[in-house]
Amino acid sequence: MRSEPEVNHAVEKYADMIKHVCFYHLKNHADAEDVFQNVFLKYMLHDEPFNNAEHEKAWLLRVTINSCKDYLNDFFRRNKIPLETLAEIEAEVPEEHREVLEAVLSLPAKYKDVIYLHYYEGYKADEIGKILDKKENTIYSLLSRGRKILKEKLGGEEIDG
Amino acid sequence: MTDKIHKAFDNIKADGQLKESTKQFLSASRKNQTSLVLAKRPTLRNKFALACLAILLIAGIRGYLWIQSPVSYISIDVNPSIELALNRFDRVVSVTAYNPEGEEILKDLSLKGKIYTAAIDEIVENQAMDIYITEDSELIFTIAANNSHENNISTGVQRCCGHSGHSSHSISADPGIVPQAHDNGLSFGKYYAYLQLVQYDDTITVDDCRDMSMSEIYRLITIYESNTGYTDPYIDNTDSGGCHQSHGGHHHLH
Repeated sequence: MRSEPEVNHAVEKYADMIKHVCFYHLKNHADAEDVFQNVFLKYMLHDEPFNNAEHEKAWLLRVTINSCKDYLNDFFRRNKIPLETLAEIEAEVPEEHREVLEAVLSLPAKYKDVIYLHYYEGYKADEIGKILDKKENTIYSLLSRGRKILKEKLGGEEIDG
Repeated sequence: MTDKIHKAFDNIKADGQLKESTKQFLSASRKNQTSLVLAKRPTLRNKFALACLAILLIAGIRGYLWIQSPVSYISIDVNPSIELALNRFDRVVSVTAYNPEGEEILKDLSLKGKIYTAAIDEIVENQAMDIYITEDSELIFTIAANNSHENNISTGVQRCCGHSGHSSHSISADPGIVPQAHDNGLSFGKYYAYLQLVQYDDTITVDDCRDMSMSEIYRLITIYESNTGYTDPYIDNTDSGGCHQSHGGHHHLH
């Protein structure tokens, strides 16, 4: 089991990143908080050492994405009405950024991960492939199609990268 | 566009309350995990005691199996066919009847754990045996044991025969035939007699021998041996009240 200072340090360092992934997958605070805490619990119980900070970050991303998918796959949760709506969460976001955020959140799940990992976290296709356990070519296809959908949603605005 | 996505997500923050509640949740989970691990983890003394117990248990089981495993056999055949399996200490570990007559004899006997001489006495002196041990019958003891132990058992069997006052013979057989005999549903004493007989008459089957008494089988062997000029030393014996030992069978089997 990892030490308390090590775990607390990781909470401070990766909290925003994990919140982002939970947010774009689950879209409500209560569920996001459940998964958020469980991801750090897995981190605390994971005894294997990480090679470096990048390895640690990629591990946390993979665990968070998988935890979100597991959470959504639960039949009872899938059919539950969220206590908090997306609109309420988005109210926290300034108006000028809401359109882009809504466009990303409205993407099918398979595109959201690659768009977030590439455009926000700055990962390349091969690195995303390792995190998501998919082939590099698949990531290129997902990125390309995700970009196209985003462009349509944003009224033809071109996405660089 | 990349910049816009950045700025949009930058507004989504894990607030201080979420981080703090997560740290508290992890701290509580850590205590639960630790207490669970401590509760599960046996102390050093317990570990040592458990290890000793395990060793004793294994040694006990192995010792029991060692004591209970049969190393030698005595087949007692007249018409009833009974077989005793003996452990290293010459105690009976199992008794098997190979025909209904044998079952009848064993019905009221409790022989397990007894020394083989006492077991033989109880069998031979059993009232139900009287109808089978007659002047015309052959009481045959066939012994299968390793060479070093065979002599001891033979001596014990001869002593029993002497006390019983019946005409009887003891034969030493190769222990290797015991499993073959059991596969054929015969005591190895009778199977040994069959192997001798079949050397002279290969039309004889195991089933034929199963229904024959020992005196009948050996009478046939005697006839064949007289015709070929060979005489088994024990077959010649017609004395009453004595026990005669033969190792002749080994000549045929090896």
